[in-house]
Order: sequence, then C-alpha cells, then structure tokens
Amino acid sequence: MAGRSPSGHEDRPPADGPGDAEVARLARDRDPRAATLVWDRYSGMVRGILYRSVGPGHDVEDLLQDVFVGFFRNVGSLRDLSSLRSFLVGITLRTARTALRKKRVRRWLHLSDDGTVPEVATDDGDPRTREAVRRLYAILDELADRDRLAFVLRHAEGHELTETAAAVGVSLATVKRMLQRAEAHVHARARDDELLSAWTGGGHE
Amino acid sequence: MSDVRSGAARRLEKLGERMREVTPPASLQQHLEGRARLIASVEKMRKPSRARPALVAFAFAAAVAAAVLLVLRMRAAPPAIAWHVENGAVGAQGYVSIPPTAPSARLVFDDGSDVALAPGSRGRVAATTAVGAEVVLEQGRARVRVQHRERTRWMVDAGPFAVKVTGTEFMVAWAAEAETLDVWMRDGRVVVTGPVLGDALTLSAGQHLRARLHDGTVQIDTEAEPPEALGALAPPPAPSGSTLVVPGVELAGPNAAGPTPGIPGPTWSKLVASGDFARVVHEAEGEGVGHAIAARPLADLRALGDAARYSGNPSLARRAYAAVRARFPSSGEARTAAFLLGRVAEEQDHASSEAVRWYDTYLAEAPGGAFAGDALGRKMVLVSKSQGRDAARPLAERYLQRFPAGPYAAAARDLAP
Repeated sequence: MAGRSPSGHEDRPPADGPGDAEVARLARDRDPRAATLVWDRYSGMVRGILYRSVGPGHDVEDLLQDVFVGFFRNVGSLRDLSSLRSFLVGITLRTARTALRKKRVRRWLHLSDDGTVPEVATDDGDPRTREAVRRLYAILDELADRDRLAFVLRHAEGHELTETAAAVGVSLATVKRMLQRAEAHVHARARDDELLSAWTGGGHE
Repeated sequence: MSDVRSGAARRLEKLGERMREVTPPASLQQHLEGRARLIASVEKMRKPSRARPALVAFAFAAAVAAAVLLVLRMRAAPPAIAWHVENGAVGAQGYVSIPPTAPSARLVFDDGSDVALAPGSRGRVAATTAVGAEVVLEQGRARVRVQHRERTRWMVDAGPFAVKVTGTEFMVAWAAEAETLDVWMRDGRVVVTGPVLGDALTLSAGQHLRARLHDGTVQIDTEAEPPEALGALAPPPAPSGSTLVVPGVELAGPNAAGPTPGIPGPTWSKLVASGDFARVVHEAEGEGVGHAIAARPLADLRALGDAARYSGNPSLARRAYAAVRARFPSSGEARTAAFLLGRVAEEQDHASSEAVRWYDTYLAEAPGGAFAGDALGRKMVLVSKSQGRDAARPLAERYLQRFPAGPYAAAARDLAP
C-alpha cells in the first residue's frame, strides 16, 4: 500500500507481527485470536475513516462494529489474503455510505438531523476550531455521498488515486471526475468562509 | 493559473490534515469495549456449522419452512419480559442510580428473575426479550438471580466484560475507576467474556473471579462474597419449587468428585473450560503429578497448567507449563507456555525479573503471537516499576509503534509522550 498514509502508524501492520495475509487467514478460519489481532491493528484506522466520512453526530462505535462484523462475515470471499487492509477499507466505505444514506432519509422524513451539524468536541477546546469543524462537515454534507467518500479518502486519508478508485468501486477516470467536482465545491466554499479560510491557513489566492 | 491550482491543492491538503487533527481518538475504554463486543460477535459466528454441499437443497427447503414458521411465530410472538424497580426509580436515559446512603434497589422481572443494585451503584436495563434481558452495570455491585426457563438468555454487561447467564445466582461488581471486575458465584454457572480473559471463561458455583484491566491480572479463587454486600443485597426467599440450576448441565463445583471409576470423565480441557479447575488438579494428584507430567498428552498438560494457575497453585502450574515446553518444544503451545510462565511468575510468585525473562522468551519465540502485545505491555509495566520510567521508555515506544491502540497504549503514552 503505497499511499501517503498521513494517518500515521495507525494503519500500518507491525513490522515483526503476523502479516496481513496470516491475519486474514486466521479470520477466515475463525481462529479465536483473529478478532483481537484485526481489531488491535485496524480499529484505529477504521474509526478515523468512519468519523471523517460521516462526520460528528453519528455513533461511530456502532458503525465500527458493523464494519468488523461485516469483515468477519465476508472474509471468506477475500481471494488475495494480503489485501486485507483494502478489503476493510471497502467495507468501511460501504458502511459509511449506508450511514450517510440513512441520515439523508431521516432528514427527509424529519425524524432527526435537521440539516445542521452538531457541535464538535475538540481537544484544544477552542470554540473557533469547533465552529470551523462544524462548518467543514456542513460543506461535506452538500456533496453527493460517493463524491464525499472519495474526497475523504483522497485528502484526509491520503490514498492514491488508484486506491481511492478501487475503494469507491469506480474507474480511475470516474474517480477523477468525482474528485474534481468535490474539490472544486469544497475549495470554493472553504475559500469564501473567513473562519475556514483562516483555519486551513490560507488567504485568497 | 498554476499558482491558483497549487494554492487550491495546498488548501485541500491542509484541510485534510485538519480533519485528521480534530478526529477524536478512541479512549482505552472504547477500545476495550469495542474489542470485547467484536470477540462476542465473532464467537457467535463460530458456532453454526458449515453446510455441506449435499445438504444445500435440504437447507433451502428447511429455510423456506423456517420462514413460514417465522411468519406464523411472529404473529404470536411472546412479549418481552416486563420489569419494574422496587426501592428506586428509573432516571434519565433509563439509569437506576442508588445513592451511597440509600438502601439497595431491585429490578424485578416478571419471569421471576431480579437484579439487586447495591448502594452507590448505577445500572440500567438495556434490552429485554421474551427469554431474557441485558442489564448494564455501570458502576458498583449487583446481585443477579436469573430464573432458568426454556431458552433463557440473560447478559450482564460490566464495563468491557459480559457475563452470559442461563439460570443462576451470582454477585457482580465493576469498579470503573480501578477497572476491576469481580464475580462471586452462588449457584449455576456463567460464561464471562472480555479483555484479559483470553477465551470465554466459565465460572461455577463457589468460584470468584477478579479481572483487573490495568495490570492484566486474572485471578480465580473461592473468596467469599464481601459480607457487607450480602447484608445490603440479601435476596428475598426463592419461591418454592423454583430452580436456579440449568437442567442437563453438570454442575462441577470446585469440590466436585472425580469421575466414576470405569467411566471416562470429561477431558481436562473441558473441565477447565467449564471452570472446574479443582477437579483437574485433584485428578492429576490422584494419578500422580509426576506421572501426569510425564505421560499426559499436550492438551492435558496445558489444561493442567491453566487449572493450577487459576486455582492458585503456582508450583504445579510451572511444572505443567515447563513440561509443555520440554516435551513438545516445537508446538505453538510451547511458545504460549513461555508467556503463561511469565504470568505465573508475575501474578503468583511476584518475581518481576523472572516474569520479564519469560516475556522476553515469548517475544523472541513468537514475535507476532497472539500474546505479543500483552507480553510487551506487561514487560513495559514491570520494567517501569522496577527500573524506572527512563528504562521503560524504549519499551513504551516499541509498544506504541506495534500496538498504537492496544490496551497498554495509554500507559505507554504516559511513559513516552
């Protein structure tokens, strides 16, 4: 996996631990150790992608369980055992997409989610940061679900274009078009927002 | 134009960086609870057997029949068990909180079961079905009496641990700050799952389990329930004719007798899985420990080591695990035995340096083994205690590099911020 991996060590298998293929084999064989191995290695990465994909206000812990349970249900269909990470990312995106779709339906039915992004807890406690995060996710809410997921994978997770295309399940050309749409929209909206513009460290170019 | 593009690219890159920065990390509690939930889910998946191709047609027909039955059954689905609170009230978000100075409160279920919450405790009923309930003990102590009926399925969640019940009486305590679980068994048996327990652990009448997250120790003994808890939570007299014993299941208590002569009893592995550690030790002593160590197969030796460890017999545990390593040196169990010898040295002999030596042995022999995280984490904690933080820092860095979300990650970050 040759991505920029800006999410740091959380998505890297340990150098001297069992390889992904071995972990996938254990999972496929329902080895009792597999759940612990997969969870300890990848729950951080999956949690991050889920949070950044669906935004604040979702119960990420429940979605996280959905992803890993889905992984164990479907790991038998994984042909290339060494592609465990990509396989998990694919399940994560499908779970996130389902969550986004449900959110949209609930909003449409007026059952919840009035369209505003809830306030976000951040480590630094700065109210401007909280507001900037809220505005950012409000902008992401304006994107089509697949465009949004492609945008998150590419820019927040640092995936290469080919990886992003594979994870979203589209061709390279299609993902480029999706990203172009999403980037243009997010960039324009962020640039015009004074707080977001300052938060992302830029003035008008 | 290209400057504009690169400016946009920089801004998007910065934006992605910011998104990562403000993503809240998982707490240790979240990590452990999530892992315990996943282990429980995967365990459920392991149970159904795989269908053979020849049975597919039959399975399809059965599925159709089952669907029809399901529809019929849904029409007459029995209602979920109703419950109410005595000596207390249900507060915000369904919690029942008992002030430290108040008498205990009882959650009374109309299947005859009840859960008594001790003063200072907090819990809630997460869900009820027609055959059971899921009760969450957030803090404090509870005495649980579950009436066994057909297909009874009860669960008590205490922190990241889950206690599965079919019909029994026990007391459970969860100290959230100390991250310590206690279970005192009175009748029947329960299955406890959760971090530091490895596989699911079965407890039988008379046994007491203590599992501590912060140092990863698990202790099983016959310690009696705390007397103040007995006073505060004395249950009402059981209705006449009721039974708390699971029919058809052998209640193998710690003092249970060995197998009837001439009739082969359950294997030692099964006895350990059912929580009857004393019987394994008793049988080994009956045939002669030396003979058992020299002649018993690998699975029995491992079971004997576990039984001895859980029942507080470190010298026998050491002999059994050492025999695993000596007689079956190329087996996976031999490597695991090195880790378990470390646990015995640490927990029961309080011999830190010997424990570290065994953890090192395990890490050298099985660097990617299932217990590698625990071995490295325990070593880090022991070195920090015995040699100071500076000595433990490289271990903490190594741990974080390998297990950034592992159960010792918080302790490692404290040592290597």
